[in-house]
Amino acid sequence: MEHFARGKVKMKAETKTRKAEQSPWGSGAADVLLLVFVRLPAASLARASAVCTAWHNVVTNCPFVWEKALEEQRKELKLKLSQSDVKLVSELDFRTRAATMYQRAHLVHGKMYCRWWKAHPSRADCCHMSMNTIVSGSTDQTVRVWCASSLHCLEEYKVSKPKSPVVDLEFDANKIIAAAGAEVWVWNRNRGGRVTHQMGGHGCRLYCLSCTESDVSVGCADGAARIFDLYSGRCSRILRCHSAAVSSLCVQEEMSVLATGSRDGSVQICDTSTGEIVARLLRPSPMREVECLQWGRNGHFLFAGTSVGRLCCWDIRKQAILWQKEHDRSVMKSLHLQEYGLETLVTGSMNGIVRVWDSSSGNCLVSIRPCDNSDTGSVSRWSETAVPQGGISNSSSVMSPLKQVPILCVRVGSTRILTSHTDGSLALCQIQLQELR
Amino acid sequence: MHFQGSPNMAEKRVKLISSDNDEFEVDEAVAFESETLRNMIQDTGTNVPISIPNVSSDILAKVLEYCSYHAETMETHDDKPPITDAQIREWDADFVDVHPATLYSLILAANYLNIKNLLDLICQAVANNIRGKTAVEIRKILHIQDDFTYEEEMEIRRETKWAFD
Repeated sequence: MEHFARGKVKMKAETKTRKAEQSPWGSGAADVLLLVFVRLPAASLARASAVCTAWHNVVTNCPFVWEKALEEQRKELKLKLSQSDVKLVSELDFRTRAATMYQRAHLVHGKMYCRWWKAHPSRADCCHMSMNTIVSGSTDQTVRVWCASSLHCLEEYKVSKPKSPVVDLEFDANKIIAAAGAEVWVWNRNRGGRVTHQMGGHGCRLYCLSCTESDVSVGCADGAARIFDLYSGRCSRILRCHSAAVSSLCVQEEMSVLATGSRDGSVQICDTSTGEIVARLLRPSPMREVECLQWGRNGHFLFAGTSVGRLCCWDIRKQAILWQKEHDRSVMKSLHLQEYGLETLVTGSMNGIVRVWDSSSGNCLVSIRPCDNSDTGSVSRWSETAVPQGGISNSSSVMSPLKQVPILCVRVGSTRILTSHTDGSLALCQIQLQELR
Repeated sequence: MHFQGSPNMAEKRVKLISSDNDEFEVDEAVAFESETLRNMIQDTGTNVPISIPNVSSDILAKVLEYCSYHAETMETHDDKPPITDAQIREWDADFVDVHPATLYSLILAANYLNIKNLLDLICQAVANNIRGKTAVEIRKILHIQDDFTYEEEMEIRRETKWAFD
């Protein structure tokens, strides 16, 4: 008993000394922290909320700091913002406004620093990025994970089945889900890259994929969309909606609807729980093949890019086209917008041009060639990167960027744009705002 | 200003007692930099020592160093050139270049003593220090421990993704 008591006392003393070493900031009183937080612009405030529990609680419990943060940010970005940039977000909450404005200011008014590297020996059909991680998939049947700052290849996953190019993928910290050949492959990133699921069985080629927490939807060559359960690995539903291959699809989780776009030029919306077709969207006249598709805010808007370079936006509540725009007739292979920045949309085309659009008006804000440094102000650099053993050799002489490397996939972040190309290269454009006077 | 620096006239002195019972004696003008002390002195006069129970000696010394410098900058002397704004800024920058734990205590003290300029100075210094930094860098600068669980970390990443992406 006595021994036990002594042990306890000792423990107490230990925790005390540890506390003494710790700075008071970690357990800071809310009022002191607030005095500091009201002086931070929104992006810095968001980062501060990720420091520790006490800081996070202060930021989430005091929504008014976002109002101050937005003001601070506006001050910081003052010269960069045009009237339309400020107006566009007036009906949103302060945090979302700050995020939208931060992204818009970078994408439209920033200076580009482009790094590009040979990620695969052949065609890189898909790429994704989240914070410091980039993932790419290619016709060489591999999925590679890259570090966004060093551009080193960190992980590699191989599709061990012939004739199975990776056409689309999604990932998170634990797993990678890819559509390759006629099957959906799921790898566990933590347990040495083990394949946890290999879902298919219908034998027809997959074109695209979209995930939620519990299931994966894929678009197939036979014009059907199939939904697989991620836990059992079984096909839970088949939606037969098109007469030609489903080239793109996108799930809207809250409304549990799935939008599918097809080579036959039509776009349909299905209820994922009943399998019924909710809407057949009116197509604009020279629609041709739908190449890419994504939902906008609250599932009220749907964006689609076509093989004739046309971008259109439907208002789902009215089931009518809100706007449609076309700048060139090059195939629009990919479009992307972020959940936190739904006002700004990027597209990538076969002519190597990335465009940034205002998603509510359809105005094209900027167009960029990621690999080209002849543009005013942008800097482009070829990077030698480390590739895992057995991978492609990268020691060959430095490639000079082609003027028009066709873009197959584009991804946008708040301060960068990632593109993948037909020659297997990836380009990462980091965007910086110049120091204000 | 209402106190003209006349060398012959003995200025009133104020006694302050810190939380560890050390006594500090300063000019009334120095104490007047603090709104709280000004009110107290106007209530009780300068004869009684004023105790400041929640500010320790080393922090109080630091606060008084700030107050006396800034009281001095207000005074005009015929023989010395006036202190320029640039000089003040430089002095202030040196003043806040201390351990983060000290800065935290200084904020508490400045808040309690109601010295607006000092409070602004320190809060702005801390804000400038963490502005544009990542969460990891902020933890390092302010010696904060990461106390999130894995699940919390994932949730926070989702919610603040835009600032890191």
